[in-house]
Amino acid sequence: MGAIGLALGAALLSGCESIKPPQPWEKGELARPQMSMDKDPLEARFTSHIYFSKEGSSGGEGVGGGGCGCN
Amino acid sequence: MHSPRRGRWAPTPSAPGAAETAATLPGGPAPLDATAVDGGWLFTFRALGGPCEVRLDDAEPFPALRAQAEAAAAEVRRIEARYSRYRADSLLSRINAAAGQAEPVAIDAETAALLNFGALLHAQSCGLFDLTSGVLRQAWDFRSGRLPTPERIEAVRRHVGWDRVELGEDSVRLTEPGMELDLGGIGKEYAADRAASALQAAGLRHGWVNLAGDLRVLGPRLDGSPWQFGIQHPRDSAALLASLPLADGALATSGDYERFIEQGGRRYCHILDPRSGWPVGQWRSVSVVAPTCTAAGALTTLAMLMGPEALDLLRAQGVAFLAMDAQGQVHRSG
Amino acid sequence: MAATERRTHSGFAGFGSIVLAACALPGVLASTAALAEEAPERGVIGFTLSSYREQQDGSSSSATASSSTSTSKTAAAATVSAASGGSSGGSTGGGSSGSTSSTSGASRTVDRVHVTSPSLYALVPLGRRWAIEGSGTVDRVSGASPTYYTDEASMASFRDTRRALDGKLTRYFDRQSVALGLSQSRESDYISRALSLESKFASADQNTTFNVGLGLTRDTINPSNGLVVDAHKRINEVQFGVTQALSVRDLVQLTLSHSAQSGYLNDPYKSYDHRPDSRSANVAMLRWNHWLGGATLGGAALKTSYRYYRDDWGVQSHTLEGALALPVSRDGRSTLTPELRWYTQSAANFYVPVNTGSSTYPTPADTSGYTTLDQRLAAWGAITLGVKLDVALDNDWSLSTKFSGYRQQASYRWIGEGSTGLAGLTAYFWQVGLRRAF
Repeated sequence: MGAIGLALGAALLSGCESIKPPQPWEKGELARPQMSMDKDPLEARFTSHIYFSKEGSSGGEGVGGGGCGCN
Repeated sequence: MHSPRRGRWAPTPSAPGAAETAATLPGGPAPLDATAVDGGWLFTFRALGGPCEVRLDDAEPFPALRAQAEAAAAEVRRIEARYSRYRADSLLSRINAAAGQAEPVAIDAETAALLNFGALLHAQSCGLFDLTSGVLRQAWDFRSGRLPTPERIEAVRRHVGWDRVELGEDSVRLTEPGMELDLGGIGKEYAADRAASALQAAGLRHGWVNLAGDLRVLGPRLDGSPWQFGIQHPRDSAALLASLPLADGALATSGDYERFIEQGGRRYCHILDPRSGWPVGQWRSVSVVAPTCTAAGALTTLAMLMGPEALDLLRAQGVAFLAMDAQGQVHRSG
Repeated sequence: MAATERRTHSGFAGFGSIVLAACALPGVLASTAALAEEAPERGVIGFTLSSYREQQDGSSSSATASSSTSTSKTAAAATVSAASGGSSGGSTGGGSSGSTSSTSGASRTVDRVHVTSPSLYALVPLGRRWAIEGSGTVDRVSGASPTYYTDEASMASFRDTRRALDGKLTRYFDRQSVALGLSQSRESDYISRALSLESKFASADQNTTFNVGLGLTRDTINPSNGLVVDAHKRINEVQFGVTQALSVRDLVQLTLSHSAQSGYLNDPYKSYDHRPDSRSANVAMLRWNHWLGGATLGGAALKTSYRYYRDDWGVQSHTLEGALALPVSRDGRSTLTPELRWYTQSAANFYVPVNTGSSTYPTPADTSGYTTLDQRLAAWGAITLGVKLDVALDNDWSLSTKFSGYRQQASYRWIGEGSTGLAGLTAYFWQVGLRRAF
């Protein structure tokens, strides 16, 4: 756990020369599809359905997707 | 957050001719001519050294259309007044006159945005695109038809170098005397975009703006069908390289046929590599379709300068293009 | 060499970055165009086939011993089932032990649930201001679930089909959008209907986006064992989120949500399951997408997230996820994404720990209050390892496949002891999807 945290921290620090919100003409990388916060809808729905029916916690990603009898 | 707009792909033609003459407009602005064409109105005027056209087909009464076209022409003239290197009273000329002085020149947000865009192009082209390279025209006199001597080119090229420009958030300074800024490659295209988006903001949706070959479409014809634009053939001035249907977006073309010197069987065109001072020769003509004319124009200039890697760049930008290389072979986007 | 430098540099130019930069110049695009929140340019239609298969660890006792134990437990199971009212399980009756699968030395696995799920998705932009999307799914579920903790002999098999349909309508304004969503899910014993309302708005420089969401779910439960008839369950949720472009390479998102459930919250197919009739939960989720860039093929993206969950049943959980999107094609549009998910949860405060000293099914010591024997409300941890491949076939078509393995066991709990006496759970799931943009 600690090792992961350090690795993530190192990745963050090495990548930020400047934590400065980008100008409109600098947003090329952020616009890439891999950088989107949204997930593929069908994949996300299936995966969160699995975790909802196998685990004790749910939520955090979206509202009102509807439930099912799997839990 | 937002992805580049993708229009309908087709090569981009440019209107024939693009002779830039160093003409200062005497007296007041030249009048706007209106001609009835089938489907709408064509308004013409002269600015930025060439013929400018605004085509409007919207079903509005003529006085309203004319007023909008006047406003568009006024916007083009405003940009010319600010950024033309041929006008001694333009903001650009004032910046150039202050080259080598310690005091930076204050600039507004619009100028800062344009110069920052130039800085981005400079960085992404590894120095090929350089807004300080306009000074090379002092060595290259295309009207005389004579090649400059290497010594002359070197003497002038000493003043080229974007890295010697200090660009701040609201000020700019050319650090050495003799340096000059020149918005060639983006200035006319920017004016086309400003004029067109002003017309769009006014609700006009059917027409286009064409500033001597750099054009931006407001929207399709009244029946929804696209406009047809022809790309000039780089070696046969009477022929078209291709014809392009365009319902939105912008089209710009750069070519080695606009101004050139031919000597010893070789063509020396007006697009000069700032690192050597000599013209580029990989492409005869590059046309790009992009969401804005500034994007299209910047990319055609970059493509002409970049040589063989140009097609990779254009593909990486997600734009449609049509290019003819030095051997006469035509390359299109997929 | 200069030529290589040039090539590398033009390869580094972020996709469309020059075009984007040009579009950002002041006044070059009319204000109703690309800089505002706008309907997607292209519609999408996609079909995905998903499959889920789960197993639990078999008990470690020898075959002969287990058969004798299972006989007594089967009898006891029948008693227990009778005690909790009616036969448990779905349409094929209950009380049968789950089918065993692999026997490799001392370790056995017991098949549990298997789901096959084809689904269809479509997104249609209507002009620049509206978009409509919808999806339909058919889950074919079969297998067995234990009714008493994870006891094999208590497995009740079932088979059911769940059909779900949902739609969402979005309206776009300048830098803002509003969406209304409706969904419905039907299976033989459960109907769920939900409504959602979301709004997003972006700051002037579009580096910050806020989102607000409201969700209402109304379920009707009619278990096949007749334990309850027309039971109702309501969920009301609210969510706030902020997404911020921190730098040219970093996007961060924080989401806070609260949900309140009420009504019939028990699992009617589990023995001794008596839960409170309300559940209130709070969730905080932090996501960070970081563009690593890279010298070859256009660069990789690192996506991480952390979620904290806490409710008034005593369940507290942490979820840590990481994924690395690696380019596998020259144009950077095809990616290979390995993923890791790390999860830990505490038990609900009315979860009754397993009494490992007994060979029959003891009734929980105190049944006057809330009780549950449900594995899902016990304490344990879980790890998911997955890999996804997205291939852009051409400008319009793309194919994606994803394969994941999930392992849940008490010893994986991060902090504290996991619940004893529960069989570990293993699941494999994969998805294959085909999408076309138009």
